Amino acid sequence: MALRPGVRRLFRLEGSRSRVATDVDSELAYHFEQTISELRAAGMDEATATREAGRRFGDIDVVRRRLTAIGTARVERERRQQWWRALAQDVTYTVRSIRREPAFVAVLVLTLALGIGANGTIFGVIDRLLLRPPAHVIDDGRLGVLHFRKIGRNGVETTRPARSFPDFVALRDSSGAFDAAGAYMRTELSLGRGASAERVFAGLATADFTKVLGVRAKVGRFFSSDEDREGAPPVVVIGDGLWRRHYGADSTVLGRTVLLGNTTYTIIGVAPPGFTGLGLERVDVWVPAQVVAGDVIGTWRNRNVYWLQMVVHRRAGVDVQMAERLATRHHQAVNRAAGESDSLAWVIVAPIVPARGPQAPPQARVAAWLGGVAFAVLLIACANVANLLLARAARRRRELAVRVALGIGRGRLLGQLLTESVVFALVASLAALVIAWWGGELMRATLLPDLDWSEPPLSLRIVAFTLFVALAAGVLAGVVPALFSSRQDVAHELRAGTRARGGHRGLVRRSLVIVQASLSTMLLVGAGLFLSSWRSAESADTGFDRDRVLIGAVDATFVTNTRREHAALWDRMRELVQALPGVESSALTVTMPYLASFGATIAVPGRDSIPTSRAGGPYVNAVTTDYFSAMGIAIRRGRAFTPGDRVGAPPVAVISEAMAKLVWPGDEAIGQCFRVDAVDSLPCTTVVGIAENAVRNEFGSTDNPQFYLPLEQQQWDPGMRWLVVRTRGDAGAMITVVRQAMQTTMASLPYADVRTMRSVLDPSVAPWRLGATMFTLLGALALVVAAIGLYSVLAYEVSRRTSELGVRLALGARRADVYRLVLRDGLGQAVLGVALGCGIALAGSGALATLLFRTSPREPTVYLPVAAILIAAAMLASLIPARRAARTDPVEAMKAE
Amino acid sequence: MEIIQGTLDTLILKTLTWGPRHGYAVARWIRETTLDELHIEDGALYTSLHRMEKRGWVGAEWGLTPEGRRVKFYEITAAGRHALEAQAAQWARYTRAVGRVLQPA
Repeated sequence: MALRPGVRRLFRLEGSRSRVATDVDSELAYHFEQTISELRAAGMDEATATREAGRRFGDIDVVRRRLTAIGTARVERERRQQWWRALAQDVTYTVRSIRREPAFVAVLVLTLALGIGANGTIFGVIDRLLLRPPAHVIDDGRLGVLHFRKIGRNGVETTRPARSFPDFVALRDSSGAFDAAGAYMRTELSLGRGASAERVFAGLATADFTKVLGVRAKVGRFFSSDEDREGAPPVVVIGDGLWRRHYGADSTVLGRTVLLGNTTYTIIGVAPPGFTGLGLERVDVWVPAQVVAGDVIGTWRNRNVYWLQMVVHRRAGVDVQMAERLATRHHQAVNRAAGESDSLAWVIVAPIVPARGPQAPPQARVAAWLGGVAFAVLLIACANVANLLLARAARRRRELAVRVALGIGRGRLLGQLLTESVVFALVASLAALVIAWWGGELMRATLLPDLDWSEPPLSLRIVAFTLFVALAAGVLAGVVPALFSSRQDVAHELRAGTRARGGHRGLVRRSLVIVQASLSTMLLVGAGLFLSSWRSAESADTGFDRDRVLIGAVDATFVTNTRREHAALWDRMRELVQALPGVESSALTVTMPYLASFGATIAVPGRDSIPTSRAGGPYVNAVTTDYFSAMGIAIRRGRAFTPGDRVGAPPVAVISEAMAKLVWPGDEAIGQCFRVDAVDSLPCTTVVGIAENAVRNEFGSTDNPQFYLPLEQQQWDPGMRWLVVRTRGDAGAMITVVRQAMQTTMASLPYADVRTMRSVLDPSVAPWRLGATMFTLLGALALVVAAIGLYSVLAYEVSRRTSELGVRLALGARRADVYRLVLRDGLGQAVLGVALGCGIALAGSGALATLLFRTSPREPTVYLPVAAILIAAAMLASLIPARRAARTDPVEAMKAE
Repeated sequence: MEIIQGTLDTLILKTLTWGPRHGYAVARWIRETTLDELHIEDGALYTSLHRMEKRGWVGAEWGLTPEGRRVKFYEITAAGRHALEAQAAQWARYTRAVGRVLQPA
């Protein structure tokens, strides 16, 4: 702007809010002064001139306010524009630097992407398990799930979610704590009959269940309380998955009928996708609890049949403690009046999020740990990126110094450098989203296959979280290098030429490497502990074989009319399966580890009482002759059952070692006798054999007192049968043929379910597999990233010290000395990091103890290999820079100076 | 005679086409040129200047007079010239049209 001659230009002042008013005032003051002096020159006196100037101006206060407002708006807009312009400039600058050093940026972005992606993946799991209520549930903060805690006869405290139907009705209607409550149970049912029969998961729900949860049907409706009555016409709400699989998502499905178990139901609705009740496992059909309970549970109205899990809505003004007090008092009173054992049980109102209740699945706790692990990986990645940026800042020292000298503000420079790392992180977040998608799918399929995953692996929440993490990582990784670079001593840098001091920046870079190494050590120690737990779990003694055993089940009670017919059907089924090639032996049994068990009372003639075991029991089972060989349970002494143990023959029993030790300690148990159910009128049952202990339903605990009776001598409910099949080779390969043989025994059979014993045990092993797999993956990731970090630091150091090394070599140092010098530098940092990491792990791993299986958190066989692996990796990372250093040409090095 | 808002903007922009000047100079020039027939309040003039500054039609800069006073100078911007041309053309059309109606037949 060409100002008037004689007017000096003032430095343009940055506009600010407070300045605006001052500027307006001084502009107007100048105007008045000029006007008044003009008027006085025309002959007016001072007072008249002032009045005239005011008249000419108009209402000064109004104008001043208006001008201030306009000015403020203008300043704000300018500042916004300036901010955007600066950002655009910084981004352009970043893009330019990407073009200049694509390989450098690729390493950087990849490192960040791995760190961020790991976090996105784990967040997806944590979100599902720990943060959100089950899908479609609307929680206003007053929903809760009931658990019942009591101390059993054996002195062991147990907490269980299930209770009887009368308990549910009493708590719902008259405890005073809740204004609504619903209950449900998840079970398996056969859909259809014969060859096309299929197993589905059914939710047996009371009519109020979906109302309390706030869930609405996707098509049609859920059942009403009129439909949830014994004897009401059976109706069903099918799940979204089943609707798609079987009906091609046809909306005219309402009114059609399906055969479930032994009852034909009319479809009245389709549940929304992913609705799984209170749990996270898939549910295919929803049926009214009171209609179907007769089929599934039999004596479902009994006070001692615990099958319903309850969800409650607290009354307004009733907090959790008060609700628990009210519910407990009522529940105890009702059970006392009925003479039930629950008169001392405590009612717990737990959060609706499944993994936050008192019975959180171990996966949830493992997932929480994995969150920490993923965070550690991110920290390592950030440290690495910070290191790379520091190295580059050193390379660009002169360029930055020139920019500072040219008048760019420190703040702007800092902003530019931070923008750069944030842009890198945001680019990385795109790759991270791909990793999170892929990792999410992998985790779902391999590690958490039992959960209902009908939602896509990337939710909006995961995307938002990933972007947030990326932003934070960008700032975290960029802030240290940016601070260092923007705080340069300009004059010194410009004078110093290419040589520079290591100084405190070298210290920072080394510290970052040490932090990386120690974090990697900790992660790998965790991985080692979980791997050791997993291995222990896989090889843990269960008492029975798990690789070559199949179990089969089918609910055949409604295709036969008499007990005899029923027994004949099972015998035929066993014979058909036994005849298959590849089947070594087979047997029928009444109970099955993990799936069904019965407690019994026994009496020994001449003794007042039997000692109780911490494991409860004794437990009873009835089996056919080949049960022990088919299951792989060894007979320690005496004999197994023989065809001679039939009706009419003397009653015999095989007992577990634990029972022998409990009932006849220090005595020979074989030949002793006891009375089952303590009925004196029955003949005494003689012990003929002692069997190896076996797991009942608690992984790792085999010492439960158990006795077996010959099935032929017993009158057990024919509904309770399992087929045990021992295969010659891998059991999994035989599932289909065995299933077919069972299914075709009779044309109208409902779905025959066959699975491996391993799959029955799988949920018990799964947490360790989850932990071992994820810890190992993330630990390996951390190791690679940390190794790259060490490499980049050493490589930088070597290039920085080229001239120094050249001088040393020129002065007679041997190449081997130079080689060792660099190697020692790298290993020194690694050893320090490993020592630090092991120390922290030793101190902190106690917190992991409850998640481990037969593994001490200080297991030396874990720590030593981890230390060795890390030092080997450090060695590997140091080799190349060391070799390069040793090859320094003294003449070239001096010339370059 | 009262003046319409848009017309005041046009007058100010026109004033600034001869070079940067401060608010007082603009006011004085307009009053003298129009022989004070338009009765423009100085306050309205400053409001118009500031509004055009915000709109980007005029740029502003502080300078020092030889006497050492801080004074705010205004200059017309490229956008301001554009606006001036458009408004001048429109004004000419307007007056022509009105003039034709009022012309004695």
